[in-house]
Amino acid sequence: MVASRKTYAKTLFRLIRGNFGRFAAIFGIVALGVGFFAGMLATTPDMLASVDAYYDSQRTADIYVKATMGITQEDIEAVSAMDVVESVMPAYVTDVLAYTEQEKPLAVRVYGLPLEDMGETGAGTFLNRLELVEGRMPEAENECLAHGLGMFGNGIKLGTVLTVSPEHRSIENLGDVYHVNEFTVVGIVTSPFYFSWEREPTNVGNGTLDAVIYVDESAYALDVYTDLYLTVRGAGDLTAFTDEYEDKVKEVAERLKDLGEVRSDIRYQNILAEAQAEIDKAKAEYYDAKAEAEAELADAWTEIEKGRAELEDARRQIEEGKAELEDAKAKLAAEKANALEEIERGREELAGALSELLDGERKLKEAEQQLEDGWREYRSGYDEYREGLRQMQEAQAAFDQGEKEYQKSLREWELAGELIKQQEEQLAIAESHLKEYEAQYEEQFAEFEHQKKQFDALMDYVLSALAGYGTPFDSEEELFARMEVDPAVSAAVTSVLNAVGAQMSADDLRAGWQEITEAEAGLDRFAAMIDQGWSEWHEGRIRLEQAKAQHAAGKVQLDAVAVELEKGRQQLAAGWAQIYSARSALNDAHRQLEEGQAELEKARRELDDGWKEYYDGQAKLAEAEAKLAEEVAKAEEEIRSAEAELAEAEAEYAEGLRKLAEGEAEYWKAKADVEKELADAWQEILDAEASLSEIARPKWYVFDRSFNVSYSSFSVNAEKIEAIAKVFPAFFFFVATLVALTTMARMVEEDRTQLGTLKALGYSTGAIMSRYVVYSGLASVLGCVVGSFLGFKVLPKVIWGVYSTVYRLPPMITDFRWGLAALSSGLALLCTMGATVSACTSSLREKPASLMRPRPPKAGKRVFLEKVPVIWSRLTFSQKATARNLVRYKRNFFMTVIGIAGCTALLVTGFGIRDSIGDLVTAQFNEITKYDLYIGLDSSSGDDPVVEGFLADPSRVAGYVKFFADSGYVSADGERIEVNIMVPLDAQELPKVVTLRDRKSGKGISFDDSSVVLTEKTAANLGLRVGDVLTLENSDGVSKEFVLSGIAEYYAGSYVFIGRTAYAEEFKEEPSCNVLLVRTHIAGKDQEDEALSTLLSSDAVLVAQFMSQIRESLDTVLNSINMIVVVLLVSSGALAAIVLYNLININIEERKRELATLKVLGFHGEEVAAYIFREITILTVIGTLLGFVLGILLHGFVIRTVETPQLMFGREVAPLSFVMAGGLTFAFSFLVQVAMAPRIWRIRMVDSMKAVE
Amino acid sequence: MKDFVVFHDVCKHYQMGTHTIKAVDHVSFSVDEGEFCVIVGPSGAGKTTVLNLLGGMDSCDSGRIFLGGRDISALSDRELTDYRRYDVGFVFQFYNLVQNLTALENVELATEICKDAYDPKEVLAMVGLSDRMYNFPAELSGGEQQRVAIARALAKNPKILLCDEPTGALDFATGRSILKLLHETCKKTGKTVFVITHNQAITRMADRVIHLRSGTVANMYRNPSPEPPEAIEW
Repeated sequence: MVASRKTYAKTLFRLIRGNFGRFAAIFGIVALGVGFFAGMLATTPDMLASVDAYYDSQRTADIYVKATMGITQEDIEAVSAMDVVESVMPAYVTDVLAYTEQEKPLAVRVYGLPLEDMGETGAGTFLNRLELVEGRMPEAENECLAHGLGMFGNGIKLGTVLTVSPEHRSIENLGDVYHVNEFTVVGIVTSPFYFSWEREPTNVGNGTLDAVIYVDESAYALDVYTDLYLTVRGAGDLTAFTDEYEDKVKEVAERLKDLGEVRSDIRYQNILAEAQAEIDKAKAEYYDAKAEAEAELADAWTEIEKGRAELEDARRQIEEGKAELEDAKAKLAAEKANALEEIERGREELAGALSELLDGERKLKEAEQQLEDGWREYRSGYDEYREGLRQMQEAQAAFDQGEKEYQKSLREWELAGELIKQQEEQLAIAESHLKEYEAQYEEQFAEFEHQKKQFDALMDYVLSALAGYGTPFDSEEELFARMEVDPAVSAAVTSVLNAVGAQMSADDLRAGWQEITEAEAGLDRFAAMIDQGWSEWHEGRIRLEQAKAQHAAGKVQLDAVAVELEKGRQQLAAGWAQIYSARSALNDAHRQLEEGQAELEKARRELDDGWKEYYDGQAKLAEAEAKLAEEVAKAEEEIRSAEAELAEAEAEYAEGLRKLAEGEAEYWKAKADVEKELADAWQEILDAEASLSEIARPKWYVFDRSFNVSYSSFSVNAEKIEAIAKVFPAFFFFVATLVALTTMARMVEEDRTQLGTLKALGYSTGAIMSRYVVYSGLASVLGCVVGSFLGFKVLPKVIWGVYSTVYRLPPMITDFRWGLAALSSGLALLCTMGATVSACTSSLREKPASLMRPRPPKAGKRVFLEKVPVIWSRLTFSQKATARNLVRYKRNFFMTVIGIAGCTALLVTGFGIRDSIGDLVTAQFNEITKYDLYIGLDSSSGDDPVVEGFLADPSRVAGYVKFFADSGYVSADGERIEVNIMVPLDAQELPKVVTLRDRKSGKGISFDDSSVVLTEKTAANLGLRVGDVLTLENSDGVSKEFVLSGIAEYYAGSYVFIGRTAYAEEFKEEPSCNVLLVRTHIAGKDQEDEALSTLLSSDAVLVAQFMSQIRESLDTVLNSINMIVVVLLVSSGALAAIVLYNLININIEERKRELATLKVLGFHGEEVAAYIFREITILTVIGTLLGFVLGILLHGFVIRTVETPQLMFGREVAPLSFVMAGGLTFAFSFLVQVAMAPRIWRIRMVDSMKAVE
Repeated sequence: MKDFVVFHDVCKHYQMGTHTIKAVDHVSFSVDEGEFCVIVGPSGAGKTTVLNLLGGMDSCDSGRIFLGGRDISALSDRELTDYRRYDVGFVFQFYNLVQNLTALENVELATEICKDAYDPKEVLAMVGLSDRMYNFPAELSGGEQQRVAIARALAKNPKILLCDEPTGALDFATGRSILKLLHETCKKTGKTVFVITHNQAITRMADRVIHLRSGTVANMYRNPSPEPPEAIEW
């Protein structure tokens, strides 16, 4: 068993982990539902308990008593002696006008309390304990604490000084009330008595309190207390605001009222006795006063005589003074003339100096001009010199160049001479050589001639010999050529030769011939060579001659150049001499000019010195003049003051004379007055004795906390929340049921096979089911715990926060309320468990065998849209699938539509509440009530000058209507509602200040002297329709019946408007004007306050109130409503998120396979997501539309709950609010889709291949 | 076209804790256009991984996969989606029809997103379902549902038809008729058809057979004489 428990826990844990999204969804919706329900229900008790704790800790009085004639020590003792009274604290309370540094006075309530007894929180005798938030406690009687938060304390801070104004209609003498008239704020406090932002009414100033201050009781001069605070024994243990508490306090209050009657009688007797004592005292005073007055009159006469003598003395002194003054005047005139003369002299001297100076200036100017000219000349001379110098330098350079060239040419010429000489020598050598060659030639030629002759002879022989032989040859050449080819010839020749005896052969002959021929040629060549040498020699000779001629010419040229050069040298020397002399001249001029300059500067300095002297003189003169003027003025002033003194003395004298006369007159008058006063006083005493019987009887007014504005408004507001708390969470529970149902059904579906297996194994249905019950139960229980914890802690605080805008609230006490937690958790568990069981049973009813088979897929369902092929064929597959899915999964459909509808409805309600209050403000104050000022008059006082004056001022008043107003009750069918009766004295005038119209049609309701028109809310509460009979009871308790002639749209207040005749006929009483409804031109707080101050200064004005004050407080409420809208926004967002998250979760799980298949088929991520999200979007649309309807209903409910019998809110939700509610719903839906989209993208395509489960 | 589908040295590993599983380990094969190809092997041989890679549902760790000359192993997720959309027709073991749509609408759901899809009605007529096209899947038999699935895959006019155990959920006779339909489709339309199965018998009708074992290609061959589907029995 143990093991199985462990396994069970393990599988359960796995189940949760594996299905965490669902777990979270159930958890979330349960937490939301429980949190909202428990939190809303706990809010009211928490709020009341917190304020109660605050009351207890500050020892807040349960009851306070105000006595018209004050509360005496005996009264206090009598109250303390009551067994039901726990503790008692008397106090002084007065409302006054007080000035601060600001212009206008503030209406201030001044509490005189035993501040030193304040003590600690929750202890001591001090009631309505103050809490110091800033500053310190007062230490002197002119110091005070100020209520510093909420509507009070505007402009009042530490250090503010409040000066009590003596203008007060019921206090004749401030000194009778306060010892001190100025109070300095030294501390800022809060009080349990004033924690509402709503202002307290008062009868001073503009009708509402501007400040509350607390002073020590010692600052009060009153001899009796005005108020008495007390706590009821045992009331502290009860929670304030509850019926038990209020009943208990009421009982004590009744007993106090009874006591008040008794004490008032005693007080009356005492006052009477006091008055008699006072009269007796007055009589004694009268006699004293009479004696005193007579003595005083005698003294006065003596004084008059004394004054007369003093005046004579004064007259004499004045005469003396006048003579002295004349002397002083004459002396002053003489001295002044002397001084002026001297000054005039000085002035003349200065004039002479000035003309000299000007002369000097002129001369200096001329000299400067001359010097300037000299400089100019010098500069032009210098420029010329520079030009000459430059030219000279150029000439010198040119000359040097020429000379250099001449020297060069000369050297070249000499060189040429050398060359000529050398050539001459060479020519001579050549000539001698040539002659030598000619000699050699002659010698060689001779030798040759000889040999030639011998050979020629031999040859001739040979030739002739040969010719003899028959072989003639013409020439040797022919022979030798024949010899070459014909040896016979050679032989012949040889033989010839031999014959001759010449020891030589033919060949020798030929050789000889050749030698001769060669020698001849050689000689010819030699001769040619010699001829050549001669011709060259001649040429050289000619060239030499030419060079010689040129050389000679060059010499002539050079000499000419040399002459020119010499001439140039002389000219240059002369030029240089000129230049040097010019330079020295320039230097001289420069020196002179500089000397001139120095002189000029010296002259300038001298002149400047002259000028300085001149100006010094002038300054001295001016000084002398000023001094003179000052002295004269002083003297004259003295004279004047002496004159003034004299005049004063004369005036005083005259005054003295006048006073004396007056004094005498006064004396006579006083004497007469005193006598008359004494007579009057005596008469008064006689009157007072007579009026003792007319003294008003004192009265006690007993108030419990419900008369305190803070207590009563907080109580009403806190209770409204409870009413709303009961309807809002219903949604959440409904949706929680659906969430659990859909989720668990899906889960059981997924585990189908397993269920079958378990069932087949023999597990009982209960055992199997327990798993799911525990799963969803665990989620729900966790949701309950977290939800109730958050609900108890968060929601009350949020609403507390909302109320903090209109109340200054103590820290909130949030209790964990077990009862409420159990109630809400029980409801939530009932919903989810019921859903779980119902989801399980349908599956578990099947046989195990069928369970183990996958559930046959549900056939798709055809939808009506398919019958419209025009549309159907245009839809894409996913649109078609969506259309069918919506019909197929009904649970999902309802869960989502209701969740979304709830979300939208909450938003519509939230925005609608704002609209309603906005309507109230706009319709009531812009359209229905057209007056801005309500004035309540004391009808017995008749026409009042202040009011008449105000109404007659066209700059302030545009128009007004007179009413007779009364309060009373309307009743019909046993219901009785308090109502204000308004009777316009002129029925035709009514539309000027109030529009009576039907709300739905907007049509006006006619009103005449016999009409009876009831405001809408009251009529609805009583179930009255036009034509019905209603019973009206006036404040005197007289009841009369009327026929209702109209029902008018009206939001703020409950009214019956009755025509004058109708009223008068029924009540037998002619209505008189006691209320004025005024349309004014007054705008702005300052103007309003001014007007109110004016009006309230009149005794005839009981109430004066501007509508803008009411409007302002409604605007504050409107702002706090925004906070509620935020709460609704957040919770509706959470609701939408959970529902949509759950739906998407289920859809994804259910269609994982389809989605994976689509991915395999190549659908893109966004197309796959659209398959799921299109459905969500359509469901969101349907849900939103349904939500609009639900929202209108819910809004109507809330508005009716929040309304008081006196107040009607607008019933319409503005179109913009629907737009915003729908828009936000879509935004939530879109956000959830965006958040969930990755879940779809993460689906793996492999899942498409898995077997069907 | 020769080598219409090519696996070149493809590897795909999965990390299971500290253990690496080589689902596909250096697999290479090629298939010609219009062939009826059967990929066969026991469980865990890597058939599904090959199918995922070929179907563009997963990408490989190394190696290259080509379809009609296009390298599909280097595509981005978005491109892979388009690849599945336009190039691959998928037939599942469990049909995976959208229950909420009629037979015709199930086909339309595929053609709606394609560029040159066939007329859904004609395709349904082709698979022999012209008189059942307005029925919901729940109203059809298993074989009929698979025919709808084939029509849905075919209507997209894809380049290849991937069939994952198309007969796995069907009885023998229906299974055989489905195979016959696939074979006819292959021959009539010239589409390359892949049938992934563990059933050895089906290899007899294939043009090409790829045997996978432990993530590798154990054997690949062209069947010289494929038998008609009617002749197959198992």
